[in-house]
Amino acid sequence: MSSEKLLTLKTRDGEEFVLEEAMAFRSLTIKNATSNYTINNTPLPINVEINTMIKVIEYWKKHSERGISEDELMNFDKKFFKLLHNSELFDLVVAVDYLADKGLSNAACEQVLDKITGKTPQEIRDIFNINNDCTPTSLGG
Amino acid sequence: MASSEHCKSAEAVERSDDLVVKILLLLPARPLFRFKLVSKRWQSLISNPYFSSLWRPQTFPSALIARNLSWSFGNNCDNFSYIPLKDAAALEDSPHGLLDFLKGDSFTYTVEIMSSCGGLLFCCCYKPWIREYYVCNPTTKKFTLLPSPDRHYSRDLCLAFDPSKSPHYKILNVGFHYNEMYSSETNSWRQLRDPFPRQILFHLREDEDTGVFFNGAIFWVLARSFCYFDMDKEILHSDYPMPEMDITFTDYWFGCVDERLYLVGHSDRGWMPGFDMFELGNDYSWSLKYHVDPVLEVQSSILSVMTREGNDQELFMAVYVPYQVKFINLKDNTCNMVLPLHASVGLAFASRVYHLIENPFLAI
Repeated sequence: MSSEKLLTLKTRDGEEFVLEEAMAFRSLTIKNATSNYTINNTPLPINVEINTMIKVIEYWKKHSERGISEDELMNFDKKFFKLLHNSELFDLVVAVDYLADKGLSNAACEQVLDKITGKTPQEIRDIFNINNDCTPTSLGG
Repeated sequence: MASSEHCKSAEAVERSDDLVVKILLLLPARPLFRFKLVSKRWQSLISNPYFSSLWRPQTFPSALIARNLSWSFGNNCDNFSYIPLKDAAALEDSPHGLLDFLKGDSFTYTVEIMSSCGGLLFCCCYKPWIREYYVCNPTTKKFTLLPSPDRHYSRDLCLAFDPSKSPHYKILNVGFHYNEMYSSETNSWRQLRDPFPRQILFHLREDEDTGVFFNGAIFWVLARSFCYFDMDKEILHSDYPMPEMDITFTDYWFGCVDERLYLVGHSDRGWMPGFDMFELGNDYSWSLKYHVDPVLEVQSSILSVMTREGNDQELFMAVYVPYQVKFINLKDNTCNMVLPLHASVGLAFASRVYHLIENPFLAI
């Protein structure tokens, strides 16, 4: 642990925290930012709020564990996403898209997919607060 | 209901074109098509050709449609049986009236499916004194009325369509004296130069639409050989050898799954009962891929071979056993799904089974 390189990050809402570089580099955005950035202990700002970042780190930690089986990961993912409220899931989707972690991004999008697949167009509008500007004549199909 | 905070998070996702597209690309055909109605912006995102070029249609069928031989004029129902392959909860169309949208306002005896390819169906509406020919996309219910071919009494009518190669399709009308080719590019039929040789024409069993479109050509399996007609060069190649198989038995299945051509029929190797499945290689020779043990002592007939949802690489064979459809996993010979049916007499004599592939992007 002591030989691991550490990185200090600062969230959008001003919270600072330290993360192992190897884990932080699951985010391409962070990885690219640090390559143009001289590490002198100034925290790297990231456009994510602390609550969402905590969830991201929880996911990264589990998926970095050595010797963990596919089944255990699957069970973790199931529980992880089940506990999220819709708003937390959506925040996660936006954050992970910004952080550019393909694996978590795909997993989160699949969760959103599950939530919208069986819905009617009106239910979709309700979820995302979309204005109904479709009139029957405007639909070319 | 949604609190304002909930909305803000959801709105943040929906604001981003990239994120909306990313999520929509994962959707299967029907919800995707339905969500065009959410808003003008969603409609334009989905209709964007960039989107449709990225969206992967599922290769597994969502349903099977079996053409009944027991149908006759006047019994006023569809002459095909619909076998859903998805959960009942996902079904939005009732099995009856699947193709009713083709009938229009004028009185129609029935709609018959002539050929299916690449997600499109080529159908014929039988009306008093006339037949109308349509190509339709059953997912979107869009259709085009085709000009009538010259010859209505065909040995075979085959649709040739590969959406990954071209948005246009062709239809071959095999006749006794000459063949005709329809092209959606010109929206017209054209008489072809050479008719097929007599021995091939006699083997194309009348009224049974047996041609399979594969690799740019239409393939037919005859008693002791197979042949194919190159749709671009318009040349017939014949006398290719068949595998060791009891092809004189009328119960066999020949078709294309996931870009490979397969032939399934009763084993003809010594005393081994059951079915053999052969795959056509790149050199157009056959190799045995699977052997399937006999299903039951009861009379069974092969309906179709296909891939299933969630089992991308595995092939399944749908077999009709009285009042059930059994799905056999060809790799390990297990039967892991059985669909009970009403007493659908038609299935026992199903002559042609079509795959209903859902794709909302096929332009008609």
